[in-house]
Amino acid sequence: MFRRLPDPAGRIPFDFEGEPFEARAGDSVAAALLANRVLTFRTTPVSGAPRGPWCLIGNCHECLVEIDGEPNRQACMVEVRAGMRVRRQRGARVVPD
Amino acid sequence: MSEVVELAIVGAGPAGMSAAVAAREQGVEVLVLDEQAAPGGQIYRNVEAVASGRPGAAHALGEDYRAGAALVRAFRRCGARHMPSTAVWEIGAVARRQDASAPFELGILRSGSAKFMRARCVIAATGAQERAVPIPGATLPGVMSVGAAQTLLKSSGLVPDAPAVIAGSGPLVYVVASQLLRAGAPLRAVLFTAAPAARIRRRPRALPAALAMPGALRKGLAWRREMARAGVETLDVANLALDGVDRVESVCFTHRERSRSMPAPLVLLHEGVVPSVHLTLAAQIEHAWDERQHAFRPARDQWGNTSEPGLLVAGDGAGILGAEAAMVAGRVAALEAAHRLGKIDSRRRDALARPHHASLARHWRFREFLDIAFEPDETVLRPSRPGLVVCRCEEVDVSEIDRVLAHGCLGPNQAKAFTRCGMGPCQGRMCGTIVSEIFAKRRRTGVGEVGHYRIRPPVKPLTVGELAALGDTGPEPAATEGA
Repeated sequence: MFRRLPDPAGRIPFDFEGEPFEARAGDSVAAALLANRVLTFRTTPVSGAPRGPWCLIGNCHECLVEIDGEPNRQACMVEVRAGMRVRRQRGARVVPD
Repeated sequence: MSEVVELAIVGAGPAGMSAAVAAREQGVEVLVLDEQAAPGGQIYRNVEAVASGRPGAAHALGEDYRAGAALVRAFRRCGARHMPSTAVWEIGAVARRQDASAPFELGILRSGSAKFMRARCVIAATGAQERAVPIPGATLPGVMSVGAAQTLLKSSGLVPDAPAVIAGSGPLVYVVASQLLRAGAPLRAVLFTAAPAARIRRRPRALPAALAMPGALRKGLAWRREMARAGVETLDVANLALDGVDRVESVCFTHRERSRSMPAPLVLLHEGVVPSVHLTLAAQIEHAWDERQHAFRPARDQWGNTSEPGLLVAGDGAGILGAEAAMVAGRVAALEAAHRLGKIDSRRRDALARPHHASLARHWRFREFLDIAFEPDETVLRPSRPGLVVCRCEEVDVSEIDRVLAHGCLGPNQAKAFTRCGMGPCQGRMCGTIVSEIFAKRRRTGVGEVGHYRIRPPVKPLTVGELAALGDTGPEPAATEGA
């Protein structure tokens, strides 16, 4: 879906749905997922429809994912970090204990 | 004990950065709060890193983007405190409650910790956001805004590698199409939904307005030639709809009265930009409906003063006028703030601002041309197709809004209670103006009379834990940049 222009940024390992993924330093979680051909970030709480990012600047809230166990994170507003564990948000968020 | 700054500026885009530089020139103490990790706003996002070390993206994004590096440099050197990666979730006026010398309280969120800060004066430079595009299939994965594709190029050097379809209206369509082509991205087609040439012919005011800024007009024509040279199919279309099961697969439209469709693994939509008003709406200052721009914006005078004395607005958040004008408006608002803070008298303020006011007037004349040429179609502004999703978060469609209207629902706020439209995570950022437009159309009244959803702080996501910790003042978060 997307390819990278030549970029000096360092490579960063992270984890999506239990699979090892690679990002570049400075990527948002959303950019890193799109670069790895992930289009569906969540399913909706109402109908369960698949959704992916629309605006990538923090407005639409379509890119909500679970990051390191915390639900409702805006993937476009969080910078990816080494070892991050990212999961799709399925339906309504679950409040962790 | 919370600290009081003279001037807090919300947003480090062109308006916020130039306001900071201009205010510092008048000896004002300035704190700039910005959501991004580096200054630039959406238009100059990541410009320092791109201009200095990413030649591929720098070439694709072009000269106008790279020029933003100069403003960022001036901002870094101006002596303003810069607090990056900081969300502002409330601007509250507390003058009437307690401290007249520090009438504003800003709710901020930084590194997972929420707190309040105080300021004597505030310039909200919140910028713009792309208008929602409520067409069938717009919620499918693989459908993004044109601006989103540009953000990926600026922040991560990512470009589409499958033949994308761009569809919509507005200058950004041309800008991004030419940027993606320069980056070597395959474009399947560019579909124009507003037939700008026909609109210009119908409206006699358009052409004289266009001549207010011949340079900008030439730039637009150059982008068109760039698309033609690259051999991209460009079509005037109507009845745009997207199709697919779990992701977008094709685009359907009518062209010259004939139905057509084309495969599309990635679709980029755009119908212009509107002011980002959630923060100013939540501040409870007066807002006006701009008939020509089809958007709400804060009511303001030529200095950026709003209905709340000491709270100013500048840049696209105060009305869409573009990045160049935003820099000028930022300087104007800064001069007014410096005057209000007692740094300069009104004669000096007026003398310094005179050329800026003249420049802004020219920008407004040219903007009329853009507003006419790229006015979104009725079907985008006031969708009426049954079953079409309006509120993406709560999946409320046109039929449901129509149903509550038929039952006598009074307006957008009551519609929230009946349908949950506007009550999802985006807080009505995507559906707000659409729902107001639908009400105005059915009730045969003005959108300004209908009004916008009532927006309440916090306007950025805040956890209960972060809210609960608000009572602890704690140590001041260190501002990382600036002197």
